[in-house]
Amino acid sequence: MRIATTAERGRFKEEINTALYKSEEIKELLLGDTNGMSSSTIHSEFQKYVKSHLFIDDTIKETRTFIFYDVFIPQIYSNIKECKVVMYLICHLDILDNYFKEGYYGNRADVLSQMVENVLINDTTKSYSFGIGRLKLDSVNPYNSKKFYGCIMEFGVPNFR
Amino acid sequence: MATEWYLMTTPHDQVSGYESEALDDFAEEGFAEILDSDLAEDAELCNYDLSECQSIRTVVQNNVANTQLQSITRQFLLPIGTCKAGMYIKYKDRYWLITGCVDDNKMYEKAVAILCNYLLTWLNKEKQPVQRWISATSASQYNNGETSSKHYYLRSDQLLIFMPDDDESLMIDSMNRFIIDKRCKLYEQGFTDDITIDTSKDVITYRLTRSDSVLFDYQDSGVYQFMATQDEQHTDDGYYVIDGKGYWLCGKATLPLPTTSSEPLTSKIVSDSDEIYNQLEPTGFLAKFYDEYGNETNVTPQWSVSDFEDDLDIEEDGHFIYISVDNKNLINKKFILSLSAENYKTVFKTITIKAFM
Repeated sequence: MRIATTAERGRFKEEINTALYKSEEIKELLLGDTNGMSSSTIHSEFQKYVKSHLFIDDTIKETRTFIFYDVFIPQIYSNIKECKVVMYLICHLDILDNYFKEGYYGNRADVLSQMVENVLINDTTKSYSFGIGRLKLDSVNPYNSKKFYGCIMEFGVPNFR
Repeated sequence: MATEWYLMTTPHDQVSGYESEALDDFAEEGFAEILDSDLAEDAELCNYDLSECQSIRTVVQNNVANTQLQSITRQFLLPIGTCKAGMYIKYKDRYWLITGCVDDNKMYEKAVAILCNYLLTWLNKEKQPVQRWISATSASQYNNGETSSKHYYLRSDQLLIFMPDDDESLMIDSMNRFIIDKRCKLYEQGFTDDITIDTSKDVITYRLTRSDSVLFDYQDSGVYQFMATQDEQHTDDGYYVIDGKGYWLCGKATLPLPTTSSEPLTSKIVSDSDEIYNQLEPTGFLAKFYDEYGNETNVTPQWSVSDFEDDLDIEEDGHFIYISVDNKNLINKKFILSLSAENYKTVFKTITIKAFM
């Protein structure tokens, strides 16, 4: 049976969410020290701050760091479809500049974008797990709102229809 | 002799002419006819553990008593050779324990009996529950019910217990503890079928402190008397279901040894979640086993999974089994994890493989 055209949206999200969770650095940045927490607690905490939909300003009050992402299919051709991953790495302004980590540069949102890049792009196995060829980073743009700052990363990968 | 007014249907022919033979020939037959009349009543004669009962006719004496003490004693007139001390007579839905040495006057025998007021329960040497109807009377009638020290008060009461002198009764250990409390029946009214142990209820407990096994030994029969002294309730005194029947027993330590019953023991699978996430760290499931009293026991678990065994990464460590999976084709599929062990009922848990979202 042919897989539904829109199945990529869900499958990509599952891949992304799992990849982000498996990164100890991202978990540490989002949740802080998780030593002593049970797996189920880490699961539920992680799910609070990593969402498979886009950021909606004014719906979030917590002084935390969030990852919002979604998957688009902007072009569908006869045999190929273009898949696009848009990821919002959002950080509350109050904690933006209080995070430092060796090997990473900039504020908390900048560090997070580098970590995400490591997970989805620099991890070759993962970057090839989405479609035809490897996932590539197309653009990184800043995001600004009253309380939050961050960046919008856009990834692209073609896949068979 | 005119037969139309003479009721006795004796098999004897009175031919000698001696009056002394009249008693020999007609006494028991005459009493048998009395038992057939309205003077006698229906009752049941039972052995020490009520396992054997038979219907009897008896003449009951002292059933219209003048004092409270007299009202709980009866004399039962029965055909000679019917009963012995230590037997019960069930009369008007009450059990009466024959305590007197039974003898006869060539016409009938008389059994002196006292009213039983409690069904005593204890565990024998084989740790099996034993029950006997007993007659409990106060041996400290004017005691105020407590003894005091400077800092505490203790319960203080003594009961004189009469019961059959069968082997089980005579072998009750000295210091054996009993629950003797009518409130147990009230407590049971509030129990549901799934209750197997309840030690939350206040009960009055006694322990055997003086045993008199020969005072009322009549050689061929007898009754057993002991003194029970009230003591403090222990935390594990209460209601226990053993082999499907509820008993009020003192102390977990006195509970019976595991029976050879084929009834499986219980176990369960404990985990934070019934889901495992694809590609994530293994999820642990813990095997727990319980004995018939609900205490956790150390048993080696035997695990099995219903499906995807080749695709699941399974690792066993002691009582834990850790399962992980890295196969997106299994996302949202389910399998059954089963836990078993010898003599334990197999338990199952349905586990769903989920994507971590």
